[in-house]
Amino acid sequence: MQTPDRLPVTEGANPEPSFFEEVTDYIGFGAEDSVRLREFLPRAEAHLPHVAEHFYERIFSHPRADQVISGGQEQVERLKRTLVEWMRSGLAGPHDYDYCLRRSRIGHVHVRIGLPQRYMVTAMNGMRVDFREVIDEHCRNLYDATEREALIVSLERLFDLDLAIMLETYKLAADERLRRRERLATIGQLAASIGHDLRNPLSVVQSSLYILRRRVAEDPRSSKHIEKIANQVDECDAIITRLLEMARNRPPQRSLITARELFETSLAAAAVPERIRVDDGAVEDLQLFVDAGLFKQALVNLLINAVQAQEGAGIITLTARPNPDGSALMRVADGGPGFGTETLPSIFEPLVTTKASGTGLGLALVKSIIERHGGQATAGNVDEGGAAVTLHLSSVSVPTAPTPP
Amino acid sequence: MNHAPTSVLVIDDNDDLTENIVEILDDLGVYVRVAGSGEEALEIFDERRWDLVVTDVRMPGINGIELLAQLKERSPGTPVLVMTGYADRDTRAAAHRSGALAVVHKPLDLEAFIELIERVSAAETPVLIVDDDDALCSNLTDILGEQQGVLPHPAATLELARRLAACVDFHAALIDLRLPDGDGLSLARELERRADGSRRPVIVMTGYPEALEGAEEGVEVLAKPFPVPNLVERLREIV
Ligand code: HEM
Repeated sequence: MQTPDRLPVTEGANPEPSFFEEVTDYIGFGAEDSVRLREFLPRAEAHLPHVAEHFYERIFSHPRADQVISGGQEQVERLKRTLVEWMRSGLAGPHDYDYCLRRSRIGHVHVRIGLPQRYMVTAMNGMRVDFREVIDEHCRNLYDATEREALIVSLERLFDLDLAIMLETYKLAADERLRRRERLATIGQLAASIGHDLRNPLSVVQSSLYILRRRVAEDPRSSKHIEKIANQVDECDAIITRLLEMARNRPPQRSLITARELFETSLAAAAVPERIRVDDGAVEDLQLFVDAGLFKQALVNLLINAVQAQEGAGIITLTARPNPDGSALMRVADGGPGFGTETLPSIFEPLVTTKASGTGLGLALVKSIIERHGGQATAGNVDEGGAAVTLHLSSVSVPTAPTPP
Repeated sequence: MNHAPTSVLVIDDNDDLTENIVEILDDLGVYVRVAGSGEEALEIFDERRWDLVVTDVRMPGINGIELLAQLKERSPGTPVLVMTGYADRDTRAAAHRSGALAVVHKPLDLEAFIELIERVSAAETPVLIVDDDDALCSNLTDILGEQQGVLPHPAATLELARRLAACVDFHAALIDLRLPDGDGLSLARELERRADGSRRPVIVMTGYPEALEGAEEGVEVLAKPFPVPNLVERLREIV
């Protein structure tokens, strides 16, 4: 399956070349530092796994570490390997703008897992201490006092540089979030006002249809077209509701409900046609503490998308399961053509649509609803090609005890 | 029995919509008058007794919520339905405070609207519902409205409830104990024992029934939260 059970690594905003220039300048990191560090690498190489070991020992001494690192021993081993690689590439250089971009990408990984920025300074300080230890304990006879001092200064500058890039990445991500929020707020206000105004003409159309419907009952062709118009009016009304719901950004009113109940009421509301088979074999017993109304809205949107993606006979596959760490996921997958690779990265942005008739609000609303619950939505394609949207629920959405807080 | 045609006053600044509503209600033999603004509605309102008033919210001049408050000032017993393109929480709460029968979405569900008109015209049993929680109050209004022959009159405050009681001869009342402007119990006592010596069934709803233990004779106490079927059953017995 291409659909991520884990949250995917999407690209975040990159620092500007001018940022990199300014910060290297300010730190005073120069070509001699690069040379000194590159020469140090083969001497330190044997000790890097130990530094990585120590680094994660420190992290796991924090009582809440396993909330961030939830993948068990296997993930920790992988993290140690990537950290060794991080140290290696840090020492090897070259410390150019490309280096900055690669470091920033690693920064975004941490932003995305929700690791607070404040831990980074401490983590980097641990790194500084450990590297001094490597020099003093294992490389003592390779450097005289001045060389040792110079190497330590270069290392400090490297860690300053890496920390600066890391923090800049956090800042860029925060800016991006703020911009998106402002954009959504503007779209929301506009949408709310347009949506509200549209309901007046819709009311007229709808009441005229009501009158007409009685008059043409005997004429099947007229009736058929009246029903068509009526359905489209309902569709417009549903779009307006979505717009207004998004604009309103209501905080969730949580209650206990099972994933199966949510799926069942949503299936009924989405009016999934007979031609589509619904496979709910992968819906496990999962108790949630969420806003049932909002979740139903999100699921109905996903189900309607899944229906519209498939002409003729089709299938919708539903999944709900808890993760070992107390979080959970719910997924709606279809047997249609799937998301296009070029639209996939922006699929949750408002006003992005792949359907001829879509408004591009459905998935944006889904995202907004799940984020209001402190979770995340991801999209991808299943192996067979169909589209899948996964709702990742944080542990607060999934009560462990039978009663909610 | 009320044999005069049902009378409905519709207020909306969209002429095309009001024209359609007139056409639909005319066919049903309902007497309909239309006002294009709140100001116009206030002029027409005093002409006669209305079984139902339906008003839009967003209109030039005074808006539907302000109009509602003024109409309820003049005639607390006339049911007023508020319709809006979007009922946000504030609109809903304001409508409830001013004594709206219900807040409904535009486009109107016409089947339900016609059903409501039939209900208000046929209703012989006015029931007073006093609760400041607008969600609970509107749920109770809905539930009671579905009972044959019952016309619910919601009120969010003691003040509105007293004014309603002064002009409507309620057959029963359902009163929350704690209200923003006072204690529901005093109202319950007044209603239970009318000035003419007659008695009316009154149910007091409270989250703390222990506080009322044995205190009141005649007034029935219902502990919140209550199972809705029990309440409906109890009311059916009463009315
Ligand atoms: C100086 C500070 C740190 C450095 C240099 C660092 C380095 C790295 C690197 C190189 C990766 C791999 C990124 C990739 O996928 O390419 C990574 C991922 C990760 N780091 Fe860090 N890290 C630091 C601090 C922390 C801290 C303080 C925590 C947590 C408490 C943490 C938790 C994680 C997690 C959970 C991942 C993702 C894992 C995954 O893909 O499974 N990191 N880090």
